[in-house]
Amino acid sequence: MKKFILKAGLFGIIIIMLLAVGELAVRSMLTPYGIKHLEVVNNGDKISTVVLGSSHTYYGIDAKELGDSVINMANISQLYDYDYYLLEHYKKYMPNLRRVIIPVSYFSFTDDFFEEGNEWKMAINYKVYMEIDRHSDFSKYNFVIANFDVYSGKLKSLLTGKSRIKCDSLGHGLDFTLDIRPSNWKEGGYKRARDHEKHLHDNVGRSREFLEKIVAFCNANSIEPIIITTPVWSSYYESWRDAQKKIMIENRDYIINKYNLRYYDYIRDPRFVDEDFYDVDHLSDIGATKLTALLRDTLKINE
Amino acid sequence: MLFNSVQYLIFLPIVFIIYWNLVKGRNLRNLFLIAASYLFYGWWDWRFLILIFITTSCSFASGLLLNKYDRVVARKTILWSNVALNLGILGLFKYFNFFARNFAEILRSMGMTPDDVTLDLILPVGISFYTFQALSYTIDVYRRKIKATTDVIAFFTFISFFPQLVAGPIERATNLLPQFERDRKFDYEKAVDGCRQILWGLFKKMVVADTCAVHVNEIFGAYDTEGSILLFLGAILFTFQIYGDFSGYSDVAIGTANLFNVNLMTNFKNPYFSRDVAEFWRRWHISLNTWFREYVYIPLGGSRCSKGKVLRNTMVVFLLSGFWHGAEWTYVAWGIYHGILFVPLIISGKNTRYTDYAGSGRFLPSFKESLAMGLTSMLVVIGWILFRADNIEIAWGYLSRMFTAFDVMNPITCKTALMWCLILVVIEWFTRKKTFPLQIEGHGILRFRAARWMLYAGLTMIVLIFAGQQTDFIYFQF
Repeated sequence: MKKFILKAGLFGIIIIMLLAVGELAVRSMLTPYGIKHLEVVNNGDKISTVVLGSSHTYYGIDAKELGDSVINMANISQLYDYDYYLLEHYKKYMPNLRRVIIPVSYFSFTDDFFEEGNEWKMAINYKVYMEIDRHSDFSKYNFVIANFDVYSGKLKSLLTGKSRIKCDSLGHGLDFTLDIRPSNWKEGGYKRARDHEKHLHDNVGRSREFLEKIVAFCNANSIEPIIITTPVWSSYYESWRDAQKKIMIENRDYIINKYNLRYYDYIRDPRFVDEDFYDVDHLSDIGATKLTALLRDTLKINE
Repeated sequence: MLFNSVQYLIFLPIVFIIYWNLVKGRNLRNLFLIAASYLFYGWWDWRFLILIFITTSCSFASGLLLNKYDRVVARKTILWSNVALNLGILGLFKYFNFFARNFAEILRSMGMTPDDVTLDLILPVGISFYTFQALSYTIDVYRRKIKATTDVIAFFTFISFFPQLVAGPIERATNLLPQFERDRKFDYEKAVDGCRQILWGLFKKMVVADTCAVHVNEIFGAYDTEGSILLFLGAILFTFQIYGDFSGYSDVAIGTANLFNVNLMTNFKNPYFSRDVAEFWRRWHISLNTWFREYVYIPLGGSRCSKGKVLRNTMVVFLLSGFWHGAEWTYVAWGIYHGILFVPLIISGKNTRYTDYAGSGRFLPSFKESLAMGLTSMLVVIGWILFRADNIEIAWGYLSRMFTAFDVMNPITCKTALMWCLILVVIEWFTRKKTFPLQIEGHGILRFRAARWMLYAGLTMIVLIFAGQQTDFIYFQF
């Protein structure tokens, strides 16, 4: 019996060690978070414009096309809390930062913060790959293996040689191309709108608070915050609930008016047609080029 | 709790250590196993415990009454009361809505407008398995094959033993009950073998079955737009999904039982290497098929009667077997389909010709054997389409399109799943004489412990890294 327990224990230790080796391997892999981190750390002094936000701007704005000194720091599901933490953490590397582009989306004021909802595992990426030190090194946020599905997925891609990186060196997401767009993408509007209605009221105050923190930080550092709303498809927009739409508009307008910010609304812009969308609320690579061109002409970053 | 869950990973070692180190004596150990088993089963829903307690108590009491009374009338009354009670519970939870629905349909077809009467009942996990296990005890006591036990603790352990409680193997009292009626000592070799069998079972379930499941769900979900090649692939993948899932579960169950020095019966013996359908049914879900043979086929006359009656007995068994699997016409159709496949073998008297392993004494199967295995596999795959489809219309639609909707080869998106299936086939072929492939005798490099441990560690990492999206064990729904 003792012999069995000892050998089982020893085998368990071997497995734990192999998992630890796997942890080291996945931490050394390039991810969009790591790519953005390295670009800011190595070339931050050249950066004049940062794009923040969620997947809408991650896929929707091509930093290379926007100007010579732009980086896209948006990430999937990123809300204003982590927008603020990123800005605060990386400002020291970007002494020439002059403007920050911040999106407002249907869910911006009502979605779950990473660490309070089911999305807590997303916060691991910031701790491991971007050194956003909000949690102890011994907490679950410092281990990719705490999100076992992602951990095993990354190891799988490492072992099979299939790359998971789909963003360019300036942080723009490259996954959303027309050749892989689902054929029934237009029908997803209703479901997507329902997916974006997690908390109607709970997080509004805190979300606005974080957005105001971003604006205040910018003002204190002579940085101009610019608010935009990215294009969405009609089936998604028409599925919005009035209550949440009102929250989005009222809080957006409050911030814009209070701080006298520039605001560019592309939500229902007729220039964005079928081929510009990957799905009901994300632009395709073609749409990203179009939106970026419009912003470039408007913001005139290189001038 | 699922075998492939973190909860089980914590539960099993705790139960194991407490059982062998802190609990002494046969009765205390059995009591502890009952507690652990009820915790395991109650994890799904504590209300399930009420039913298993009733089934166990009534079966135990029936055994004592059968021991007490000698008169045939009394014994038959006790037996049939117990059978009616157990099958009544099973029928209520599993089949009531099916019969109610179909009865209403019949009345509607006659021009009546009946109200839809259905019960909002959850199907208790594993009810078909432990009900049949309890029934086998009562029937064996009635037949005087075994004496009724007076050891209530051993009996409760026999019915509720957690490794085989929710998806078998369906044990016989003659095999399992005596093991709980005597002291058990820890067996090191058996425990090691158990761990290896658990690992192999998890590989089949988590890597092979769960990887296939994703594609199977997609293909079956969109069968009316897919071409025949993809539909065929979907059927093949389901063939491996259900094998990996169910035989994987059995392996984990048997391996877990070995940790407690309890022997469970083998439930699968490489069924996809069968050379005809009769052999397939001697190798697939062995515990259920032997149950039906012992308690339905043989009492009806078995093979010791006219060919006509043998055919009748065979069809009855397959009909009941199909029905056992679920309250849908697809399961009944699947059972009848296999019964029909049996007919030519019975008529020609060739239903018991294959008793050894395919390719016995050879590295690879002969050409004739390969053809036989290929044909049998195709017939089984067609049956699985009936089994998997949600209803008869979908099953018919799937089969029709599979044989008519010829298309240009689509890019195969299920390459990874097919790769795992191929790896499984190759490994199981070359180890087909073993109970499971990881029973390594230590030839060549594997005689070194370090090499064997590398193999086990490597397979463990493969299970952890390459596991597909977690799905429930298919046979839980039965």
